[in-house]
Amino acid sequence: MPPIEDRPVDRRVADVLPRRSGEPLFRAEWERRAFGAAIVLVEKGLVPFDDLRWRVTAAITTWERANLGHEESFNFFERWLLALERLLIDRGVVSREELNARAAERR
Amino acid sequence: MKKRRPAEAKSKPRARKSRPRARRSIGARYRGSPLPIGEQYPLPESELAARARAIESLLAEKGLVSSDMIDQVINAYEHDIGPMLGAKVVARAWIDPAFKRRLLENATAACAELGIGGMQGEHMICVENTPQVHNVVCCTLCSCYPWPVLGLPPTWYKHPQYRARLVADPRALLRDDFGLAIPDDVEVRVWDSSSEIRYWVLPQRPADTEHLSERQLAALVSRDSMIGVDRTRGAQARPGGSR
Repeated sequence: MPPIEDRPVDRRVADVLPRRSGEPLFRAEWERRAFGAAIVLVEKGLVPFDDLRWRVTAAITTWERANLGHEESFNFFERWLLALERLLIDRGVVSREELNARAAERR
Repeated sequence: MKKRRPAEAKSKPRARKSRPRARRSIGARYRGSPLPIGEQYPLPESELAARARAIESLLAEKGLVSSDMIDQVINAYEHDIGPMLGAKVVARAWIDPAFKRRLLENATAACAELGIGGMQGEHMICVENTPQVHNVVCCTLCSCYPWPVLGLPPTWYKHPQYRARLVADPRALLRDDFGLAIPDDVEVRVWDSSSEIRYWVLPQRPADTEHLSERQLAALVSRDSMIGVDRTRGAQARPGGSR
């Protein structure tokens, strides 16, 4: 069964996303951008998906350990952004100083 | 419902005790993972937005991603509707009158012709929207839903308000909650699914779609239009849908 959309989505990616099947995925524009930027890197083969995935998973686990009983305040894309930052820094794509400085400019 | 708790937490009761402090330095306490960037998290929403913008602009500057590429990715995932095979069935019914007849007679058998079927779809009934009749489905008892054609049910489908109000005052619910105004001269029929029979809607084919292929037609069919809380919009409503 070919997908209905012309542009295929990566099912591995779709499977880690919250609220699939028609629910709005994103609550804010920055969530869209953080998601899109990471997936472009994956699609261009610059970052292995598994590297992104395990970091997102680890970021979520960390949050869960620190917030037992407060699950309602969980934000998937906050964890996603944290994982993406760490990934870019670890891989030497951007430096932490560079990122902090740019974020200060974009506030 | 039982509170969810990561399996590892059991052997580390101190994670719970130190919760108040943990909010300031989530990552720092986490051992065995190269994650701890945590001195900065959690962050206020505005700061998260600034950091996301910073990442995008740095990646663009380095020639790794462009805004267009990001837009395309976002668009694909936002419109990913999972296993929504119903759109394919609807498109076939729009172009093939004989198939449409079979679909309305026995939806389960007609779907099986296209290789669509399985759990939770053993007894499906497809009801047709016409200029005179608008159909909408719900499950007043729980959340019975035709999975093989529509995938996972949306969250609101299970909400008590939706289930109750749709039966009490369908026109008001469709108007207030879904922005769908049904003209007074159109009859609204509400179908209550159960574990035995699952209903779904064959929406009306939009005007000016004669030139579209079956595949392009399928792209116009939304999940919500097959539940009956939306109507199928024309080709111009979708980016890239008309050419």
